[in-house]
Amino acid sequence: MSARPSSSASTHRARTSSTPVPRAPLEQLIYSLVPSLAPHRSHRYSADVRSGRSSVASSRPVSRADVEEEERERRDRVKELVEWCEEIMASRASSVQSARTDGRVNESGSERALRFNGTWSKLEKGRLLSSPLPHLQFLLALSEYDPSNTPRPPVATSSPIPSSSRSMPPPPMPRIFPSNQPSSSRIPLNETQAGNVPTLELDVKGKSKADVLKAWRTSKSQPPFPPHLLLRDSLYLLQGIDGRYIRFALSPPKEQNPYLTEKGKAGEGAGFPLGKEGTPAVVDQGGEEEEEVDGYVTKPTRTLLMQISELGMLYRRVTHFISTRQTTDRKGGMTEQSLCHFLHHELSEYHRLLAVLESQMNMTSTDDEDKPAEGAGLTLMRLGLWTEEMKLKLKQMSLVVDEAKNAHGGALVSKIHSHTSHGDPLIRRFTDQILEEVSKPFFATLQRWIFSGDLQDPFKEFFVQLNPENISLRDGRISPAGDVGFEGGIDAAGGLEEAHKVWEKKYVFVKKMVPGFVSEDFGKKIFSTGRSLNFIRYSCGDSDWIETQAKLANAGRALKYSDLAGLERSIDDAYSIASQRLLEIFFDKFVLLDHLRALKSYLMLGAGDFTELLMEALAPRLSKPAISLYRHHLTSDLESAIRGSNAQFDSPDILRRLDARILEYSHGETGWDCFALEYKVEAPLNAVLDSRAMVDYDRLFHHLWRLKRVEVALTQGWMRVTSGSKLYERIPGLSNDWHHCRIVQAEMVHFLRQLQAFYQLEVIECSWQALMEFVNKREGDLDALISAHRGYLSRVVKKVLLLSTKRDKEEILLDTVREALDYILQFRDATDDLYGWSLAEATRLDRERDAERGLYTLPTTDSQDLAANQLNAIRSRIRTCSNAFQDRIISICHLAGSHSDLDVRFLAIRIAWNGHYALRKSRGTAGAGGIGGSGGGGGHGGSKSTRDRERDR
Amino acid sequence: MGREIISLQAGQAGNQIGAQFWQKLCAEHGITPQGNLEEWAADGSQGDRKDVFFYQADDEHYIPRAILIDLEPRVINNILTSPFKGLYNPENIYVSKDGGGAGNNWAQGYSAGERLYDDLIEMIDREADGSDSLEGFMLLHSIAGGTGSGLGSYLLERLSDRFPKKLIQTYSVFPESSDVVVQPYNSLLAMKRLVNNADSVVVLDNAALTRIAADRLHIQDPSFVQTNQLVSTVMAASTTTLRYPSYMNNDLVGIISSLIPTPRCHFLMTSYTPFTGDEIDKAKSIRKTTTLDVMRRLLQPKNRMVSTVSTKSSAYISCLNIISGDVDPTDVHKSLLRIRERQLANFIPWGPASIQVALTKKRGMGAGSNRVSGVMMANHTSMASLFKRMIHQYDMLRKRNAFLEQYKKEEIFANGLDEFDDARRVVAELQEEYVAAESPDYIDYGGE
Repeated sequence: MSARPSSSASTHRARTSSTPVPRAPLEQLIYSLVPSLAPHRSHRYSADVRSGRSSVASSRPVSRADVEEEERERRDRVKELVEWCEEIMASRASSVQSARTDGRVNESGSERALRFNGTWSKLEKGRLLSSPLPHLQFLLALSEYDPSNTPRPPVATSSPIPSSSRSMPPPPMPRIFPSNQPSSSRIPLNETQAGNVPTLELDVKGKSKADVLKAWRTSKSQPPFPPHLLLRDSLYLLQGIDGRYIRFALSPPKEQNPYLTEKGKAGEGAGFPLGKEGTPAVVDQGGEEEEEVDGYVTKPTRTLLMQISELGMLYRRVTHFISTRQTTDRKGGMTEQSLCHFLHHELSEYHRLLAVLESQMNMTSTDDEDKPAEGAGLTLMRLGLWTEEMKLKLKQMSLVVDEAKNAHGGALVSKIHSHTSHGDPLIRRFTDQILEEVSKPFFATLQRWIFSGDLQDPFKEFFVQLNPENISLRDGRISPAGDVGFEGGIDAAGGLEEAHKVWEKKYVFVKKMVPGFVSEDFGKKIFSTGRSLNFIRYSCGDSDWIETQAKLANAGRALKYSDLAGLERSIDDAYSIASQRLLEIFFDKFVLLDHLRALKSYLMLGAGDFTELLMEALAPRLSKPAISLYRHHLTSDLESAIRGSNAQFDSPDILRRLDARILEYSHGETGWDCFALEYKVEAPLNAVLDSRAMVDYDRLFHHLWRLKRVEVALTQGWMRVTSGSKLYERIPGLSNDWHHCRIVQAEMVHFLRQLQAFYQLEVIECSWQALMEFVNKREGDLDALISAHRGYLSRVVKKVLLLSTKRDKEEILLDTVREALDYILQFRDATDDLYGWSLAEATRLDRERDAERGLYTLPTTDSQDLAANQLNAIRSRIRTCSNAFQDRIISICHLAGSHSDLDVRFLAIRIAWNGHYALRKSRGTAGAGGIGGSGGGGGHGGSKSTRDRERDR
Repeated sequence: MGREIISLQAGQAGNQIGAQFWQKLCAEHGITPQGNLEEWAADGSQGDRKDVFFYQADDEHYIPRAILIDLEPRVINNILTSPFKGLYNPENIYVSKDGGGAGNNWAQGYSAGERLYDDLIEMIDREADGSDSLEGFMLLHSIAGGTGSGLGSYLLERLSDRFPKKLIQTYSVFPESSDVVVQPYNSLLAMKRLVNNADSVVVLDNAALTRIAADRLHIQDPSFVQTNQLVSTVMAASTTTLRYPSYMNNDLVGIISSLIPTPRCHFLMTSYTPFTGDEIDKAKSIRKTTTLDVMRRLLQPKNRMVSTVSTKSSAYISCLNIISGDVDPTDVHKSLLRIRERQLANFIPWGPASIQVALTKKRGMGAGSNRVSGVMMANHTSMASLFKRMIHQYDMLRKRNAFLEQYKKEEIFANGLDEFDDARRVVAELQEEYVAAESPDYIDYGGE
């Protein structure tokens, strides 16, 4: 540009005066052109005022030494410049004088002039030209020397350039430039250095080291590597393809590249990011580089290439992932597929970018490669810049790809989600995009699951999965890939599969597959929602409702990642609708409450009239050995008990479930031991009333039934002992016995009543009420219902059976109660015998009286002694039973009083309400002796031993 | 179905009480005065057992298992002109043809019973035969007058002879001292039968009834209709467990056996709260009646329907609370604990005793059907004071040999007044036994 005028100017000057031109004007000229070289005013010394030069960093505070140093340097440079100018002028002058041919002039002088020109342009680029004025003066000065000799056209073309705009592209360079000029890639580098070392390449004599190196290299035929080739190669690299000169290393040459170790961690075998030709190519020529074109690549360039090639590595990795996922037929899952889709999409963006870059490069290569610095065209720097954003994305993608290798489905989504909390909005947005796409199949499955209760998850990506156990359990009926409900088979099979198991075990919740944006609680909710729907559809046979519901829900909104709040709302809605509906189905369609009530009425003997009739009808049969029991008798008795009581008003559906059953019995057991009332439930009711629950109900029935039996026995006994007392009051000597019997019996009645009342009120009714509270609220899902019922039942069982928390002693209290009940029955038998004896005695006395009156009577068969013996035996039996019973009661009070369950403790309070047992305990020995009548004897061995002795007697 | 109970209403008081009792039962079970079922009761969802007290005629009408007996027609005629005239089986109504009544004379009533034995026993047999498994009889009467007392006594004797295995429960209205001049005689004589021939006697004391009417219902000088209404309320309440079966206390024997440990001590006192008669609904409840309120009030002597004098050693032999209405079972539990803490009730020292609570859910219609109400049936030793007073009054009268002529006219006293002495002995023994039951030594009571 302005180089030519300056060179011609010096030529002119040299020509006009062959004598050495005084330096001062030339220097002044230089100063005016390059103000930065002008001597700094503050540091000007009188001695060399003219050679003063201001340093670039003049504004900086500098020490004197520095200043002097700078000054010296400046002067050197100015001197160099001046010399150089003179040289040019001299050569020019001589050439003009000696050889007039243009070619020769060009040959010798123009080369230097052009070199000057290069420097000049750089100076200019470095914004060292402060104003056009000096240029014009310069030009003016030139014209004064020899206007005729000045090559006009260049001046004309060049003169406006500095004044108009510095950003204008330079005029085309003459072809004569050798190709081993500094590559275009170096231009930016030089630009930055231009200010500091403007003379770096200007000189021949005072060379910088770089120049020396370059020169040396050039001389050794190692010119800088042609940049266009590097560019082309780097475009290949971007596509993950080895370039001609630059290739991906197969293994990381660690020691050579500090980057390598760092990046090496990320890279795994397949594509190495930075193992491109790099160092070896420069140092020992051959190396990995297949040299057609010799040349060296400078270090910055190399780093640049390295950075660019990282993209290629990332690209490789991503494409590798995609291709392996798509070609191999392993089931990657829909999440992966959609991930691939997304990656594809993104890569096509990338490809588009590459295409643009390539076209840019082509543009560049059609032009002169040496001047791509302005506007258009491609340089390595630009390449790096333009691919920067894409690099971020690719990095992110490769990160995702890495994770996709060992995560799957929901877990993958979850992992990706973990990147969304990134500080960089770009990455955040990009991750969101990925998620949006990747989570689509997840949401499709989710939608299906929470609105239709279908699990459509062929690749097991969802966090709800079919229970593998279940599949094996029902071998082959469910194809593992698809969601199938119960295929109608369940219903057809009449609930072979217990609905409870279905509900409980059909699906499992896989925690690790829960996507990160779904909290676990929420996941459970989702799990429950779909489960409820599924259950409604397949177990309760109410698919119509689901269909309509699903349509309604689907019409409303589609679930997607970007609308997490909406998702939450939808799921909450779906959850409450589904759970509500399921509970409704249970309560309304399957009248669960009626069944529970029936269980309470019949199995827990709440329906007193029914129980009584059943007891009455069965008692004679059950008293016989179990072996003589026939089920059809029992069922017919059951039937008549139903007909005769309020049970008849219950719905037939409930009544048909009631059945009498004979349990396994062993030899010697009576019917009482093996009779059981049964309530049958089938799917889906047995989701709540599962077999475990029914076992509990069985146990309850067994105990309560036994209690009832004892109660009946006892009231019958009361009728004899108390109400029927008129019949035998006349018999002398027995009133004491009877009185004692009545007292003991009253104790038994009291115990039994309190036990029953406790069961009835504190246990059954209170528990029932808690259950009813749940029923009235109807909150939660089927699980809540199941657990509410389970809670109810276990509470009842625990308290009715008086189970203790102590291990091995769980039933200690219950056993004691059972013993007490047994003693009551024995007592009852004994009093019956006493009753019989009394009647016989009464008859005997009557006969005696008749005989006294002279009436004929049958001869008495029983001797009086025998009768007396019998009476004594009966008496001692009664006493034994009474004492044993009282012992049991005391230990029951004791055990119950220290029971862990507060309610059971209250039973102790109930039984010993008026402190009777505490009282008796304290005066135990004496009291026991008193009852025995003739206690006496050994005295103080404690109540137990006294009683034992009595028993022995 | 079983557990039927036949009601015998004898005399003026018995029939008045009975009339209101049946009215109440009809209302609770949804039976119209004509014996039809109300609409709301027709679906069988009430869980009640109507057949304990009713049976169904061929046309599905419900008919009370009731026998109405009176020697004078006034009360029964009232019933027969009331809206409920169609309810009863006309064959079960016996009104003496001469209509002269028993003249407040136990002996006359007793003699009338003997005379009418065939007619009466025919009715009773018919009813008994009409039952699947008869549980027992319920006699409603007063022991002050002639018919209820005398004829009732006769019936008691015959019933216990004829149905030795059936329970006999009576609702006996004991007289106020001023009712009838000869009531000490009548009461004492009837008492002997109540002791010997009945299994359980629910004692209702006119004095207490009048007091309750005044205190609780603010009616001064209540009529017999009003006091009898109280009695019928108690009767209905104490039979709810029979009529609405649940886990326990579903039959009479169940209730009685837990209340009565020894045969003679079978005189039960009752309390009821809160009273709200149809006609006497002036007692507005100020606040919600809680279960604890009910249970506490039931234990208060002022709510007892017997005027007894409690001493320090008086004690409950047994106690049953029947609570109906909308009751939270946990409240009952808490109330029990509370009552025990505060020692609101004193119990016998010779055996275990406690407050039993039975919950019933009457599903009957009508206002206040969900209101918590309770009846207590208790065997209490202070009953002795009642008998003591009775004996005392008798002795006062007997000392003067007053008004004995009318008695001597009747057959039973033809051979002297031994019957009086015997009755006095029986009642005195009873009184003694009740007193003895206050002591721990009762275990060995009556030992030889």
